[in-house]
Amino acid sequence: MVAEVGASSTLCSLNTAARDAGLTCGMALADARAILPNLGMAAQDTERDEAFLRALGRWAQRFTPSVTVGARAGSDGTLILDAGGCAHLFGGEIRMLGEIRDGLARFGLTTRMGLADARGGAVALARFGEAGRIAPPGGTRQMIEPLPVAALGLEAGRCADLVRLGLRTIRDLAALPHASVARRFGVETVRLLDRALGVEADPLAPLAQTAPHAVRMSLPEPIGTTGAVAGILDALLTRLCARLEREGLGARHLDLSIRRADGGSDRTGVGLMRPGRDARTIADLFARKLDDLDAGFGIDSLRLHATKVEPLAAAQIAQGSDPQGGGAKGEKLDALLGRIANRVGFDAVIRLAPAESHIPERSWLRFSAAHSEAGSDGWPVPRAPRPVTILTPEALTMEVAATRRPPARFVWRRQLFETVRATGPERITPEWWLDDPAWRTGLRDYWRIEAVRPAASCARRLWVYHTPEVPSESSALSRWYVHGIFA
Amino acid sequence: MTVRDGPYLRGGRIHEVVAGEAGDASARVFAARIAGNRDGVCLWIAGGRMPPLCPHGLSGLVDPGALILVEVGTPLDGLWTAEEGLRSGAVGMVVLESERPLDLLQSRRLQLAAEAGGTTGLFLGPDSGNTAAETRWQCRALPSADANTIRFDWRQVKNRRGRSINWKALRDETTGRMRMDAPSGGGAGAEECAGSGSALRGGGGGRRKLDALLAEHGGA
Repeated sequence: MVAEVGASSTLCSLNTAARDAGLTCGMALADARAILPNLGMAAQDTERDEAFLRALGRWAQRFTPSVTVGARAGSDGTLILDAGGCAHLFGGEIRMLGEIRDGLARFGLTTRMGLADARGGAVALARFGEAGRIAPPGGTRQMIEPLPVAALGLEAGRCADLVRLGLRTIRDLAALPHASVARRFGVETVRLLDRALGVEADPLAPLAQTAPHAVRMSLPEPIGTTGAVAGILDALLTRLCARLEREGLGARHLDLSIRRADGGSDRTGVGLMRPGRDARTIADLFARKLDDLDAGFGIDSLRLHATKVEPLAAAQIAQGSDPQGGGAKGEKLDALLGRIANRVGFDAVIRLAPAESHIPERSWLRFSAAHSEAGSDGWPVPRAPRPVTILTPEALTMEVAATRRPPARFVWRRQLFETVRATGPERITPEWWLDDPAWRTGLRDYWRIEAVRPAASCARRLWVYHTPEVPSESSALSRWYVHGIFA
Repeated sequence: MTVRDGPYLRGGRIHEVVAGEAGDASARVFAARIAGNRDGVCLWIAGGRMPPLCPHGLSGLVDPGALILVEVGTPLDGLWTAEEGLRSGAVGMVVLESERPLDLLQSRRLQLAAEAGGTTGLFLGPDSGNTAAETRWQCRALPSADANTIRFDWRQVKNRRGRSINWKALRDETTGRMRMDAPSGGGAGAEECAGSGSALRGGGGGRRKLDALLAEHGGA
């Protein structure tokens, strides 16, 4: 594994072969390549490492209810298990450690374990002691005293300071009076020492016991038809929705992953407009997605996972007339929008809301309809007429420069227009607290104009503006733009 | 139907408005006016690259809070969304803005969906020739008498049931409200802005062709 530290790449995790070849953690990648030209490597992905550790933590919850992910040392993660009151269930501490080691070895992980009265002591034993050491009750101090000071989890600089002064082991450090250690090396050093020895309390914040909202089904025979998958999906949905209902939750997004007989896998997902747990609605959404799944030589097992859940109170069955008039109609609308959003995207189904801005294009907000309700308070009547269609400003071309009033004749979209009537100006100044590239030309004078093409009976109503703040040396002929259309 | 209400579009049918350009404002005003006269949500479907609708500009026509906009990437997505919306019966009206004309099969599918859901559909797009739409309208603005009023000319160039009726609508720009002049009967007299209006009124021949097409496609 290679990590990017500043501008250089350094090694941060090695396998045994690399270690045997003489590579060490923290070595520059260039040096490592010089030693081992055929070095295979991958970039470090801290987030995935941590997700993996958390997953391992969940696995470890089979041994004790309080498990937490400890501080990382380099690329090695630490899992801390509070074994108090649990070890006897596995036939003693030694057996428990053995079981954990065997379990992790099945995942292909190498482990170092330590067990002591306090968390710090156990970590020190695990990292620096002999493998799988167990400190007897009250014997933590004795066990960790011969270990180097680095075992306390001090930062590297502090460790180097201690070693330079001859304080190589924990014994050396523990022998000194606390007050002087604290003065010379900081309170943190003393605290870590006390925690390792179990003098200072070091409580554990256990990982939450959250089982993912997922159900799985393995099949005796591979299946390959959409109908069969839909049948299994119905069964999975029934189970999942029953669980969601028990917990008062509704799913927002669901993932269906399949494992194929040939070992491959595929997945698809649907989102819901509102949190829901109605198996039929969700099945309808999935119905359109199942064809995308590649069944290959047949599907062995399916897993349905509600990746996003939100609280959803039990719905009251509508009695007689609904005061809102919503009810069934509202549900139908949600179902419709859900189907649409799953095809065109949740960002593309939009509700509008008024916004406090004079800038025309910022005077309303767009919300994804999935996360907003229809506003109850109506829209304000605009201070001045606003066009129906807003354009990206389109420049007008004209023969005679117009400075204050709109041009009498102009060309727009390659058609000649004559201005019949102009109403304005309405001056709009940019919002200086927001830097909008479109408004860097300064304030604008907006006019509503009625323009006709020569010898045509229809008229256009346009919203044009002029930027008087643009210096006059730039072409005065091109400082009028169409920003909107009324008709 | 009273004069005050303006044009009446039958429910459970699709109707067309000829839009001369992408984001044609006159066509949008017509659609907003029709949507404002109906209860329920209006599903407004437009291509993602169309010039946006400015909700403040719809003041007095329709409550922008009752609109749900759907921005679609492809014309096919737009048609699909319109069909779903029409069929569901969950919305009061579906407006589909497109830069492509409808063909007969597409319009027939939309028409069947509208019948199934009892929803009114309005297609805003280029002149599509022979389609299954019940009515077709051409909307444009005329030179007006004063600065604060826009005079719209809503010309019905096709009506499957009966005579075409034309409307003159006056929109007050400060309040956004519309006032209707008395409708005038009688077909599409060709004026230069009306363009190909008279060529569209494919009567019985079109219907027979449609039936043949439907038989071929198994009822669309």
